[in-house]
Amino acid sequence: MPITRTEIVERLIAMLGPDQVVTDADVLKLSSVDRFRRYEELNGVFMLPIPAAVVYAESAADVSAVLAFANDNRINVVPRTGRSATEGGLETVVENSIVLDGSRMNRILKIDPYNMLATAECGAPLQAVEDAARALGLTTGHSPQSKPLAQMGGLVATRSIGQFSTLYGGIEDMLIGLEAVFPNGQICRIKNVPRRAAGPDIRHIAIGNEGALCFITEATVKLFKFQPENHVFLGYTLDSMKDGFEILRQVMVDGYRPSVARLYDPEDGAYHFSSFADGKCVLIFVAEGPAAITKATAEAIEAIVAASGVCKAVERKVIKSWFDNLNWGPEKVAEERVEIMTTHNIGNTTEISATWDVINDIYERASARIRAEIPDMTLVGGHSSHSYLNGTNLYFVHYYNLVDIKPEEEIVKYHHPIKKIIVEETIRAGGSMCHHHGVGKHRAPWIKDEYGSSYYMLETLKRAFDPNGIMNIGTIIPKA
Amino acid sequence: MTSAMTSTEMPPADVRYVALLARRGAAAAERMGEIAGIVQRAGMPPAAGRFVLFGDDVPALSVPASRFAEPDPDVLARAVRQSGAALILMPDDGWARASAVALALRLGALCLTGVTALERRPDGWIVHRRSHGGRVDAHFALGWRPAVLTVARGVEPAAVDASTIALATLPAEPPTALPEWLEAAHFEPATASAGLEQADYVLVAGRGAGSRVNVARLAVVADRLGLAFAVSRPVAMNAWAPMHRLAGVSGAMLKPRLAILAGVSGAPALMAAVARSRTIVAINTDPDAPVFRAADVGIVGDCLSLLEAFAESRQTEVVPPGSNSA
Amino acid sequence: MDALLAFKMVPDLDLVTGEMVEGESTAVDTGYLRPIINPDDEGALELALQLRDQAEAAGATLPLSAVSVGGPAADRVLKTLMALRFARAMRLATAEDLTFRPDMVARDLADRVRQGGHRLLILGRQSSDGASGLVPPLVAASLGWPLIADVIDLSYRTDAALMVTCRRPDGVLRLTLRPPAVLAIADVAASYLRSPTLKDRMTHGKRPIEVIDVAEPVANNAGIAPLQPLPIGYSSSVERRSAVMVDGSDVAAALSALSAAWRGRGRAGP
Repeated sequence: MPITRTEIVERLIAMLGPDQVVTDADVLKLSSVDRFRRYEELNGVFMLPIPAAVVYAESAADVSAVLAFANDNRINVVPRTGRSATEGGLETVVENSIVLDGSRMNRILKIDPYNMLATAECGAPLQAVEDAARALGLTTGHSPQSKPLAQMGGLVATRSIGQFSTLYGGIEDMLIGLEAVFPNGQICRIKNVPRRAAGPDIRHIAIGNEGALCFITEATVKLFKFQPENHVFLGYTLDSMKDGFEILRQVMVDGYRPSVARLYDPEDGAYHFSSFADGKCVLIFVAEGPAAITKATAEAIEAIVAASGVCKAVERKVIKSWFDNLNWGPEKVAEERVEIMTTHNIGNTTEISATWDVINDIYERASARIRAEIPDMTLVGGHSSHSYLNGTNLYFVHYYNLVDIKPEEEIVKYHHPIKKIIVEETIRAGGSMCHHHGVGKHRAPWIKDEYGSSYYMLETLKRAFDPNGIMNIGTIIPKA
Repeated sequence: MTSAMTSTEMPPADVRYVALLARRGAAAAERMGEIAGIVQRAGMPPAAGRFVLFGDDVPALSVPASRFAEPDPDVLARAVRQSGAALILMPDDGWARASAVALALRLGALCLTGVTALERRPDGWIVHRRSHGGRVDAHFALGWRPAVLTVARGVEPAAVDASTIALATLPAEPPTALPEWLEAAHFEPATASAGLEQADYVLVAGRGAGSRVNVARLAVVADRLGLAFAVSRPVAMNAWAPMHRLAGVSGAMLKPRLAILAGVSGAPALMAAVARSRTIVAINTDPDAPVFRAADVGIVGDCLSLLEAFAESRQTEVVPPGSNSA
Repeated sequence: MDALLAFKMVPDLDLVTGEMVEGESTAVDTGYLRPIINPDDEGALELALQLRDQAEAAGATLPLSAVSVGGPAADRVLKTLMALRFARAMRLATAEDLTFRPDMVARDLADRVRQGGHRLLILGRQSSDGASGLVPPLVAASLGWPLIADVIDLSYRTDAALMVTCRRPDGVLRLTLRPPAVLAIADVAASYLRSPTLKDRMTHGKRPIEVIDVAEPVANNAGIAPLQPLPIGYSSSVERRSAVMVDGSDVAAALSALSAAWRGRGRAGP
C-alpha cells in the first residue's frame, strides 16, 4: 500500500516542522518545472504531476532524514538549489514527488586565501561566493551565464561550466572536496586535498549526477588571483566558421590558454555584435592572469590570427563592453518574459561537443536540417565558447515564432524536434550531446546512444547508489 | 468610472490650459533671463501640477484647451509676448512638448525638453537635461535668448518670488467643437492602481524576516504605514506570502520613490527589481549583507521590531508619505 | 491609409556598466556599444505591424514604409522590415552626427513624408541617446499636421480612420482620428519588434532597401528651426548609492533615519 500524498506531507512536517514544508498551490506548480517549460509557465499551464511538497532543508541532517524517508517509502525526490536549470532536470514527472530545496543552506563557510579554497553550503549563490572572493582580490574563475541565479550545489550537480573555462576549466576542474547525502541517508564527505592517487576519483560520482544519485550539501572550490588590470580583449570578424574553428584549434594546440575563446556564426554574431559583425563570423579572445602570461598569450593569438590571413580586427573596447555584460541576470529573465509574451517568439539553446575533425560538419549538418525541417524558425545560429586541446563545444541557438499552438505544444512542435536533430547529428559524428547544461529529462532518451557500451557503468552506479530509484526519476536515465 | 466624450459634448471645464505668466518687478525686468513663466494645466493631479505657484485668488491667464487638443499656440504666444516672459517653463509630457515647440516657433525662441536644472552664468543661462538613456547630463548654453523649456518630472522649479509678480490676463474661451481631424474622443480617468509596479512607496520583506508569522506582521506594518507590500522570491517560494506579492524576475519590477527592504539579503534577483527606486532603505541584522551596497540608508538591526516601532511613532500622522506635496 | 515609420539606431545603453563620462567632458563615446533600434521606435514599428494585421483581417490594406536617418547600422533592420512585408525601406544616408540635431532629422523626415505622399507618420517619442523629444513636434509643425503624443496603442477602424490610445497625465484618451497625423509612441507595453521567419526573409527580405543621400541640405525646410543649440559639455548623471549606515541597536537613531528617508523623498516626484 503506497503512502498517500497527505501522509507524505504529514510525515515531512512531523520530521522538520511546518516552516520547512511548503504545500502552497502556486509554489508547488512552479516547482514542477524549470526553464525548459518556461513558455508553459508563462501561460500558467502546468501539465506535469504537481509535487506533494517542497521541503526546505536547513542542514545535511535534514537532507539525510528526508532522503531516508523517501527511500523507505519509494517517493521520488527532485533535488534543487538555484532553479536555473534549462533541460527539465527539475521537472517532477511522477505523482507525489518531494522537491528537496537546499537554498536555505546558503552560508559561505570559509574563504581560505592561503590554500586558495572557498567552501560554501549548497544554497550559497555563486555570485555571493565570487563577491566574497573578490573582496580579497581573488576569483573562483567560474562564470556561467547563470552566475547571478545559480547556487553552489546545483552548479556541481549539473557539471556546470563558465565563460572563462578555456583557462579555468569546468566545475570538475575547480571542485576540491564536497559533502553529499545518498538516498539511504548516508552523509559522505570528500576531503580537500590538492590531488590524490587513492583509487578512483569519487568526486565524479557527485559531479554532474543531476540529483539522480545524491544531494550535494557543500562544496569546496579553488580560488585564483583576480587581476582584471591585466585583461586583454581581442576581437575579429571573418567569413567562415571552418576557418574560425581552425584558428581556435591552432591557439589550443600551440599551448595557449585564453580565458575566453569564442567563435560566433553570422546569425548569432549579428545578434550579439550588431555594431561590427556585419554578416560575418566573429572571433573573440580574452587573455587573463599574470601580466607576462596575458601579454604572451595575446601576442601569440594575434600572430596566429594574422598568419591565417582571414580575419579583420575589431576595436578592443567593443569586446570589453560585451565582456562586461556576459551574465544572464534577473533583469534579463524579466525582460525575456515580456518579450516572449509580446512577440510570441522564443529562443532556446542546445550545447554539444566534439573533436576538431568533426565539429564543423556537425555545425553545418544540424543547422541545415533545422532550417529545412522545422517551421517558423527566425534564427538558426550558434557559437563555440569552450575550447580544449582536442576539440571544442558548439552552442546552437534557435529562435522560433510560436504559430497556432497551445502553450503545451511548444515543446512538441518546436523544441523537441530541434533538439532531436542536434543530438542525432552530434552522436552520429561521434560527439557528445551534452556539453554543459546536463542531460536533464529531455536528452535522457538518447543516453544509451551517448554512452554506448559504457552505459553499463552508468546504470550500475545508479543501481548501486539509488537501488529504489527515488532520485530525480527521469533525469539522465529515462523514466521506465 | 469612465466619462465618455463625443463630438457633441464640451470638454470638462477643469481641464482648460492655464498659463501662469509671471514677471519680476520693474528693476528685475531689465535682466533678461529671469525665470518668468510657468505654464501648466489646471485640474491635473500632483505629478503634472507641481508648478502651481499661485493661489486661486491670483489673476491668471487662461488659455483655452481641452484633453484632446493643446491650446492655440497663437493665443499662447500673444500672452507670452504681453507678459514679457523670457523663459517659459512647462510640464513635460508629449502633449506639453508639442505646445512648447509650437510656442517656441512662434516666438523665435529656443526649446528644450526634460530640463533638470537651470544655471545662471554671466553670459546667459545654462540648461541641463539628461541624454544617453539618462546616464549623461548634457549642458546647453542659451545665452540670453528667450526659451521655452519643459521641466522634467520630479524636478522642482527654481524658486520664484511671487510677491513681485505682475500678471497678464486673458479671458478663457474653451473650444466649442472637436477639431475637424478628430471624429470622436473618449476619456478614461486613471484609477488608483493597487499594482506593485505603480506603487510609490513599498515595503519589501526578504527571507531575513525569518518566518511566516513575521512576514504577516510586516504586512500589517506596511498597511499601517500606507506602503504597498512586496516580498522576495524565497519568501514567496516558502509560502510565507502569496505569489502575487512577488517582486523581481517573474514578479513585479518596482520603481517607487521609497523602498524599504526588510530582511532582504541583496540577492541579485530582488535587487534588479528595486534598482530603479528613488530611495532605498535596507534593514538587516547582518552588517555585511550585500543589500547595504545598493541602499541609500542602511540600518543594522531587526527589521520587524524597528518597523513596528516606526509605525507606532507615525501613528498620529495618517497621511501617506508625499501626500503633503500638493 | 499609408503609413511611414521612422526609426533611429541608438547605442544599446543598457550595456554601459560604469559611468559614460568622467568629470566635465566635451564628448560621449558610444562607438563601442552595439546599435539597437531606439526603444520607443521599436514599439512604434510593432504597433504599426499590429495595425496592419487588423487592417488585413478586415480585408483592407495598409502599406507600411520605413525610414531611418543615419549610417549603415540601420540596414540590418531595414532588411528585417522588408522581410516583414514593408512596402519600402529607406535610409537617408548622412555622415553627419545628428544626435543633437532634431531640426535636421525633422526636416529630412518631413521631406520624406511629402515626397512619399504618406498620410501617417509614426515614430517614437524620443531617442534614448539625443533625447531631445523635439523631432515629433517639429515634423508635425512642419507638415501642419496634428501631433498625437504619448500614444500607447493603435487600432484599425476604416480605411480613413483609426483609433489611437494615448496617455494623458490624469488618464487615458481614446481618439478616433482621420489622418493625416503624426503619432508619437511612448512606453508601449509590446515594445519588441516581431521576428520574420527565415522563410519570410527568403520570400520578402531579398527586395532591396533604398539608400538615399541627404548630405546636401534640402531646400524645403520652412518651419524647421534649430530650436536646441548643440551641447557645450557633458557630465555623468549616474548617482551611486552609498548607504549611510545606522546601528539599529540605537532605536532612536534608527527611527530618526527612517523618518528622514520617509520625509526626504515624500516631496519630490519620481
